[in-house]
Amino acid sequence: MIEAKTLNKKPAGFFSELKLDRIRALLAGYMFILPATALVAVFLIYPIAFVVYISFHKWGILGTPQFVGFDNYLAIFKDRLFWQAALNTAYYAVLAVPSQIGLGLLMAILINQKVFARDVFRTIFFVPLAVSFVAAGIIFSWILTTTPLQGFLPDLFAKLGLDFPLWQTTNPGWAMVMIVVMNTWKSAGYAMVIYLAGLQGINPDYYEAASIDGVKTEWQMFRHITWPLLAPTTFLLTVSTIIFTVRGFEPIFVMTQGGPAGATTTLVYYVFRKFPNLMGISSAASTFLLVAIVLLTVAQYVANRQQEKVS
Amino acid sequence: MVKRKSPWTMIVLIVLAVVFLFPFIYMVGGALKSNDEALTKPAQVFPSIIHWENFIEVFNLEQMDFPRQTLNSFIVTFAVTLGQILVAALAGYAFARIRFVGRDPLFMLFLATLIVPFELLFVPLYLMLAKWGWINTYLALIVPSLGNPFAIFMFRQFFVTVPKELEEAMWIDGAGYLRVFFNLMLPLAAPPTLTIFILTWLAEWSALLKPLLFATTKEMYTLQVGLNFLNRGAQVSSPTIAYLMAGIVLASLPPVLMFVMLQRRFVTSVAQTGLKG
Repeated sequence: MIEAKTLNKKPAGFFSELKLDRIRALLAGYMFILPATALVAVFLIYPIAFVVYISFHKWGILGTPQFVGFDNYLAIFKDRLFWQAALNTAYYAVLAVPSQIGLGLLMAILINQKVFARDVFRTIFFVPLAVSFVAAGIIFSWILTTTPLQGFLPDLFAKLGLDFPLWQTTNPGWAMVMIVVMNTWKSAGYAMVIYLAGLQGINPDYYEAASIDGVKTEWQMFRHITWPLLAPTTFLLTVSTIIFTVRGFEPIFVMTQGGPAGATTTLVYYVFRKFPNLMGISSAASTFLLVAIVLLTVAQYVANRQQEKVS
Repeated sequence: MVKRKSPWTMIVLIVLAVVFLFPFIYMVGGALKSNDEALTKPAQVFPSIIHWENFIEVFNLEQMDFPRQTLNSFIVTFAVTLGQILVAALAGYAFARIRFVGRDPLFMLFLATLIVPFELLFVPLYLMLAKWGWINTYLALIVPSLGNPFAIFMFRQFFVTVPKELEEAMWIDGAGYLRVFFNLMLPLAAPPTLTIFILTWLAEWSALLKPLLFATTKEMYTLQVGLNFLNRGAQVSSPTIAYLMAGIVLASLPPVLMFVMLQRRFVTSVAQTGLKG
């Protein structure tokens, strides 16, 4: 990439115009990236190093930090709540990722069939993305609440003669499900728009050819054409949704505060709980999760490369 | 694209639409109830008597300082959004168009930081801000968010596509880099500007963890933090649930209105976030 500016000039003398222009470009380049570089260095790169540093110290809100080697890591690996948090994170992702992507795919396929008022439906499915997790979490807490009074859905269940799980008290296993319900409402629209773009990229001739080859039902069309052709989209969505879910703090903080009985304490929530009194522990857990996210991203990158090689 | 349309398509779509709209209806219904009714009949969707005054009363609540927190949300959201756009456009232009030593490795480093979520960096950030005495100031809520590698990436990708000939005319006129940037490149960069505006505005308006940790008093909280605490206290002593719902409706209006106004752009912007990987 050679500058248009430098191309038009001829070198002349020791401090040639060309050289001056190069120096000017160098200076301008650094000046232009200076604010961004300073901000990213101070508020992103330095904190990454700092969090690793803190993780090797006993670090409270008061007093001088003390170097403790791997003690914080040993402490979290011995902490039952930490492993429960790791399991909870996996449980959350296992519930939240397929439901969000599955519902998004269903909505995208339905809307893509040139139905009446498709823009209206698309808007309705997408608009929850504009609402904050605080707002969504509070609304769903009230719709789903079982204690002390019954919210809309438990009341509806009762009228139908069904038991709604007491997710805020005695059925802690269901608390995560309720968070997932809220999260799916709020986020399925994202998967939908990504899938809509993917669907629009499928050549209609494939369906034409398949129907000539005897593929009759819509389910077969989906199984043998749509789904395989959407594989790259599904892969991309799965990875980005996993990362987004694992990062999730607001849904849990607003709806359950990690409870009942630690049933919705995920790793990110564990990091939050140990702050500010046990910052060394908090940072060790952060570092652990950071390494996991980096590995996941590298795995995604490698898988992507291989996929490209194959196709 | 399947040609035959079964009635099931429409039936499923309508059922889904009702389910998706229900939380909005419940929210507005709750905002119009009396506080007692909201507390004692959470299963009821519509109010028996409509209480419009909830939308006024929420401004006078002692527990949350709604007007100040609304102002805080607007100040932080706009400052971060506009700051991010300026910082990222400058850097994006340099990464795309100016040749300097170390450019490409530095850009790769910026891209690599994209995968690190704020949720894992708040401990060191908190300690830094506390040391500088920034906790509970606008500085803490604004400055750490100004450098956004994704925004830099978006601007760089855009500037790479701008034809060189457009710049050349200005170079021949003897313009410097700053003039080329502000008079030509920045005005051209409306698409990435709008994308980043929408995404950052939405993220900052909805943010909870950052203001929850970096602001410590009612006067410095943003709306999301204030609403969250109002929710925690909504059942004790005097119930404030209807006010809470009214507050949520008001806090959701700006992003929802922006969505309605910029719908197409909004959808493509959000869709782009997944493609950054």
